Amino acid sequence: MKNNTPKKKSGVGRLLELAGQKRWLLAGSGFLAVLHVLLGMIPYALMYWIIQSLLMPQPELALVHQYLFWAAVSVLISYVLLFASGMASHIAAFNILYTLRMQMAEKVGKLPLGYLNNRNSGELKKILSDDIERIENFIAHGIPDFIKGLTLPVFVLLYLFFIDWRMALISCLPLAIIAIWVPLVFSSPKNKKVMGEYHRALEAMNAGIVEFVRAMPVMKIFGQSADSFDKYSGTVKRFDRMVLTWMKRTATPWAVFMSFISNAMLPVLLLGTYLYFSNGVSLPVFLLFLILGVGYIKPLFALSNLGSQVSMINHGVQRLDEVLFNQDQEIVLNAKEVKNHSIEFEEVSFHYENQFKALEHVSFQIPQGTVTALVGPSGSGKSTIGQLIAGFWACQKGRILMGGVDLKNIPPEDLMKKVSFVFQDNFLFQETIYENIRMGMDKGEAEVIAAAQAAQCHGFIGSLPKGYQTRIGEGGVHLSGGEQQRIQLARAILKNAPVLVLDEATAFSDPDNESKILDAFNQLIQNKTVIVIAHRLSTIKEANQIIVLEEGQISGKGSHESLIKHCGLYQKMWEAHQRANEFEIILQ
Amino acid sequence: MLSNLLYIFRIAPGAVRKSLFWELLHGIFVASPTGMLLLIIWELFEPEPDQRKIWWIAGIMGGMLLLQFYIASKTLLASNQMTFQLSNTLRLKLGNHLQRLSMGYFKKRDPGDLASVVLQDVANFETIFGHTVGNIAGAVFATLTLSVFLFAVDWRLALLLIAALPLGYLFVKIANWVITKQGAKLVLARNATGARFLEYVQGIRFIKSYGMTGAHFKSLERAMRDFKKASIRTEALPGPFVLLAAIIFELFFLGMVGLGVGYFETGTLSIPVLIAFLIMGYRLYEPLKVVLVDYVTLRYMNISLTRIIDLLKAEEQEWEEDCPPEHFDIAFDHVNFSYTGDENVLKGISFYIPEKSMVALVGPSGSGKTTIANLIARFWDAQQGSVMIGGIDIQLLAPHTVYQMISEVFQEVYLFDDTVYNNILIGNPKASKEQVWQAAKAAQCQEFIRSLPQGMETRVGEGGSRLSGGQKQRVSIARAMLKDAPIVLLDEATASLDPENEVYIQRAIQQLVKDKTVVVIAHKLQTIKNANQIIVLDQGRIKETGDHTYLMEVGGLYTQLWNQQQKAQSWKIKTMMPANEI
Repeated sequence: MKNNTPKKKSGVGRLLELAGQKRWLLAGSGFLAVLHVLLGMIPYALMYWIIQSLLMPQPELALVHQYLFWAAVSVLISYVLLFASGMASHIAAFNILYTLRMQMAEKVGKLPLGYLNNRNSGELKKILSDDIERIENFIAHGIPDFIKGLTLPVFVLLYLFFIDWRMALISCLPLAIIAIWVPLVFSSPKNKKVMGEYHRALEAMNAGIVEFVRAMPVMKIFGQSADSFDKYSGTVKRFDRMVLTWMKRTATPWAVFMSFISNAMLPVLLLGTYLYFSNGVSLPVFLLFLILGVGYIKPLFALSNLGSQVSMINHGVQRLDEVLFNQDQEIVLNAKEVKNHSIEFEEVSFHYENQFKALEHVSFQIPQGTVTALVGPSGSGKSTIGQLIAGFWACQKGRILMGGVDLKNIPPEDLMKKVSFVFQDNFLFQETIYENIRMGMDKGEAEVIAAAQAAQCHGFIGSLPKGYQTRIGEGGVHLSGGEQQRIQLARAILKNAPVLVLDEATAFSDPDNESKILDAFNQLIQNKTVIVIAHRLSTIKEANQIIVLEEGQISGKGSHESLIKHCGLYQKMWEAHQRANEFEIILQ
Repeated sequence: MLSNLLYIFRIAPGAVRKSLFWELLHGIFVASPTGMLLLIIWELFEPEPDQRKIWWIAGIMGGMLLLQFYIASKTLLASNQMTFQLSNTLRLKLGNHLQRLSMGYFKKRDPGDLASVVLQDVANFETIFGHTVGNIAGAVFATLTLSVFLFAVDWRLALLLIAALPLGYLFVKIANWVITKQGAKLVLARNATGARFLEYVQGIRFIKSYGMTGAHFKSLERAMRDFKKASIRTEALPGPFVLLAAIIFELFFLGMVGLGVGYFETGTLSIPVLIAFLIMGYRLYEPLKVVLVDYVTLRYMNISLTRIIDLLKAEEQEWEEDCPPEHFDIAFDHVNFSYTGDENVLKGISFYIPEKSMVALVGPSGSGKTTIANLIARFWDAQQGSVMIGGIDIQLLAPHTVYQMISEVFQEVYLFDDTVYNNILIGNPKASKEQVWQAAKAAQCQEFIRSLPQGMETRVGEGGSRLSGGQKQRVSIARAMLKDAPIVLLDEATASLDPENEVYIQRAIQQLVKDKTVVVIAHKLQTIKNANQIIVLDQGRIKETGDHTYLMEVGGLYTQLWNQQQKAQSWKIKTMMPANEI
């Protein structure tokens, strides 16, 4: 199931590589499809014999009835084979989709968290459900259709050559003209350019639509309709114009193409008439060519759809591959055991994907069992430090040590056990409250309840219809932000990890939650190595160490008293903090 | 499906008629070679076939081929024009319609899903309709003319061939029924997989940080496995019925040949007629088989069409008159409101906010503060009671008129992927450059805008990603400033901002509220100490009202909240270790 060789293929090659997972099932499907086509030809062949026997001076009607019987039998068998072929290809397709989805989910679990932060979860869901779904079309329909579309004309043509090679040759004429001329027209540089513009217009329109829908509250309040929002109406109209240009360019080649198909028997007719009247062919052969020699090329043109299909599917596969071939978090080679839970940054530099430096040459030490606060304007790097300690990212330069061991030598599972992270935002799973606190940890009911009590959630959980067994989300209850925050706190208390990173921001945004949580917080942090990402300076005034950050660099380190004397930025922030707290809105 | 198509056709009847005309004309050209073929065959069966006549026919065919080049290109253009006129009109219609729906509709449906109606469903319609419309028009036309012709030649054989149609249709109907039944299960399985995966991605930090990738993975795996099974079943169950329809056609054809041979034996049928049926009979079903193949894709199209039409039919908010009130006092009169239709979020709310005064809404989360603000903006409509501005029930006013009177500053800011300038300008598209700068200045944006690489002309990125949270909020205040609406709705929550940004925003707000009727959703009680009126809410009911001094005297919920906040304000992280430098 794993992609050990992440060599990148694209287009049909990549699709076939995906299909290769079930190559035997697909080969079986293809084989059945060929049989279906061959059996499907029997009625045509019999028809020729029927005409022949009818044209005999003494028609053998008993033979005709026998022919008809065998034709019926072959029709029935041929359709049973078609069904079997379709089922085989669909079973293969859906199994491949399943495997791809599992691969993607597994991969998402292995990617550095930062990767997911930069991506919209809806976008990933779209890849998982829609983009992967499209592959079904290629595997379940595209491949068998291709085989069918190719077998029928080839076999009919062989049969026709066997009967009369001159007539067979001339019957290929329309095909040859179309096969040479149409691609020439479509691949002309001018047409390629128009096609490119068409795709750009389409993308611009789609972007405009998404923005319009997402910004609906703003649209409403500022009275913007689809007509007046140029990114919407303008791009739709531009797309409309693009389509018109494209259509005008391609209408004539398509028209010639279609006209040739419906008049495909013209060359056969001309040659046949000539040969027939010069006694070159018999009447049944002439008739056979007039009947068969027209329709058999049609399936080939169904193949032309395959091209546009593949390009549609390809966009999705590319997006999927972007996820599947993304770099995993590095694998730990020589794992080491940590001796204590102090933390040290040694000349750490870090930047997010394609972005500016988030941290530059940052060094500090956090002894075990102390509280360190990270402060600084937004974007200064304080949240980044928290995330680096929790192992959500790996730093590009320098070292981060826990108990003297480089984080790179600690397996992610071990590190996760040592660090609790209380996030700024909350997330509850569609599970019972009990499971939402337990989070798969090896803890008993008594411990879960004790943690809930400590986090001040026992009270409100008790008032819910099914207590701890109440389900969250769809068909269950919805908790307020403050309540969710307290559940998160209960999780952290239950986990009781020696290192705690906590984001102080929203814990206090709701007045009714504040005081209840505060005591729980102070209980949680005892005897732990604590890193607080601080927003309210008064909260962390008594921290053992305050690290002041500005644009990814440390601009001061020390206690509140020393910083207020020596660190200009801290002074400024402290003053602003005081002022912000005194703010009152005044009318007039 | 047909009613859906007819509904859509009404959007551009002219283009549809034009396309139909060309399709019919083109149909004649497509069918004519078959007719010619028949004429040739009959000629060949003459005791003395006339070679010149056959050359003539070939000549006519050649001539018609040339004519067909022209007709076919006209037909293609007309059909494409129809398709794209339909789809692009749909896009605009949907966009305008969406904008007139109540915010309640957006709450009920995921915005991503709504966007996909305009994006994906319209595109599905466009592609499938564009590809199949010619096939189907051709199939219907060809089958009709051929059956008329066959009846004229020999009604007995024709009748047998036609008899296959209702039988085949019956099996298609059964297949259809099975697909609908099974399809519903498939949709459920697909949605479950999507929902599980979404949860998995959104909660991945939590899953990882508690090392429980396994357990949650299992439920996701189960959902995917069920989805796979449902998918296979959806293919397997209706399959045999679709194939039965095809088999019916084939068998009836063979039966017709048998019957024809029988008639030939009894001398009521000539060989040329029998051969004509051999050739034409097959063609009678050929287009229908094409439609059968297209049928599956057509069903996809119909699902998309249904979603489009459902959205178009979603009810817009009603209104009666469209003259804005002269005064901007706000009154709630016994308002009950529920988002879902079951539990009321607001229960019997009444209050009065005089013009140009400030009211603060205070209360625990979930008490109904934000809902009240949403009702004032007519994002939703109250189910009972009335909300009035300037003495007029706002349900009588057009939503856009209500929006004109209101500026909002909410926590969540949405900026467009456009320049800073245009993002502010949306507040009042008629404003001059100078006015935009003034608004920016009053909203404390001037300084950071100057530091941007291209100043006002800097693009802010998708969703404003190039600006910090505080900067985005200030841009949104500048926008509101430019709009200069008489009522200001303010969600004061600056929790995630650093103190300096907070101070900037506070200054900006101070500018914005001048001379306005102001409704503040308050989190920090300090901020709204000066409000003319403080409304304290708890579980959708008004607990107490009054100004700060009065409420502190009463000693109720407000006093409790105030004291809690004071305590929290002075809370400090305490450790066993003394605070000293490390």
